[in-house]
Amino acid sequence: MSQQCSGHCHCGKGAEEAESIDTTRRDLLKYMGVAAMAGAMAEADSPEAEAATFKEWFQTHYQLMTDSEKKACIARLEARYSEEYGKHVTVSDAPPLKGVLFGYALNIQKCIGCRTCVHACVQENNQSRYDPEVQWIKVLKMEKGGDSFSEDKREKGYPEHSAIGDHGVQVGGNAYTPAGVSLEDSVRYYDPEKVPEDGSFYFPVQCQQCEKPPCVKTCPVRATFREPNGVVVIDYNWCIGCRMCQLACPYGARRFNWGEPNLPPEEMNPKTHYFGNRPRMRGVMEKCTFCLQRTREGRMPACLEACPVGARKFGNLLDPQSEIRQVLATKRVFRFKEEFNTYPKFFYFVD
Amino acid sequence: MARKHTDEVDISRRRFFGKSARVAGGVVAAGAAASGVSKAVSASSQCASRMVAGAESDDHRQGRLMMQKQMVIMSSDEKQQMLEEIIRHHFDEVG
Repeated sequence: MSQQCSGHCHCGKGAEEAESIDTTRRDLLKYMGVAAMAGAMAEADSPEAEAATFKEWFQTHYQLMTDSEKKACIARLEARYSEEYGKHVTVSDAPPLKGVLFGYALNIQKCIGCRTCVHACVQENNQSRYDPEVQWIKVLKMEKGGDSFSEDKREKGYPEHSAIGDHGVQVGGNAYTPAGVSLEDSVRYYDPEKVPEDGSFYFPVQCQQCEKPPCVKTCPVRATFREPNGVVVIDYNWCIGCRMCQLACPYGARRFNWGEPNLPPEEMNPKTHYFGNRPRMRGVMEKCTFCLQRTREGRMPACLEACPVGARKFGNLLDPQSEIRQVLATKRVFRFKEEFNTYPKFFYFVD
Repeated sequence: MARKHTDEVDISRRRFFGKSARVAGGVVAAGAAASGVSKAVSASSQCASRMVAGAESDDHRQGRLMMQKQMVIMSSDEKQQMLEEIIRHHFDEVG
């Protein structure tokens, strides 16, 4: 009975076989490489486009670019977006205004949960419309009463008394029901016939533009940073998509582009900013920037303009006469998750 | 013969000592166990009272956490302090 060579002997048969396998593997890899290159070449429309893609991929952090590099980068992006969306797209890189520290205040007593701000934000900031649907503002719908902590359940769930005492871990009772405003247990997507719904209150949450932002601290490549006007921005081309910032943010304000964003050309806002609402790519983070493409021109954020009940206030915290400072001085103000000591510059207030 | 007799005596003496040692050991062990049980009982009653106290402090702690989770309206002083901290930090960053 002849035994088959397992390849471990010295007959040479196994080595031959292994060599042939290696060769096939090498060939396969070679073909794949050639195919990939051919695909990439086919995808690039022209040598210029190919060079532009190459330059975009290998560009440095925007803050570290020279003026000429910045100019070239902006021109490249404008050309690409204009071609992609079939309209004249401008990409501004206007610097932050001097002597300004932006703050935002929201009157939750007035908010009716219409989500007009959400849609205005999506429209203004060129967010992906579907698959993935990206929205920078979350309007949390919660039951009136403020929290789900029940006094009736307070004594329930503890272990029963026994002769040797109460042992064990507390279970049940209020242990499994969230207390206060909960990002996890609130309804985010709702579409009622009319708002406000009976027995509900609404709590809009977006980037709180923390003065001490944990997201900035965690970014391993400094793609996200705090600008001199207090707004935290992202260099989308420098972001590596590690999502550390998303983990660090206690407000759940950051969004990740899991897929290629779907932005219909007819809905695209052509007036963009490099750090703001320019179209993003797959695999990068994005978040609210207080509409920096507007606020750097002295305009108000889109969500504020859209709010039908005037619940939103915006202004310069350094100016004692500004509306935001008046709100802080005269209204009953609170901050969301203040215990994290992030010093959010987004305030909630009631009259 | 005499030697054999001595050996037998020795053996019985050894057995006697062995038995008495076992009995003594048993008594000591039983005593220790009893004291251990009584200590354990007293410890468990202490533990129980501590647990009750702990549960009460848990209540307080839970209440306090609740207060933190609810929106706490800031006092004028707190607002002023917060604003000063934000502006101070801002100028530190800008500078």
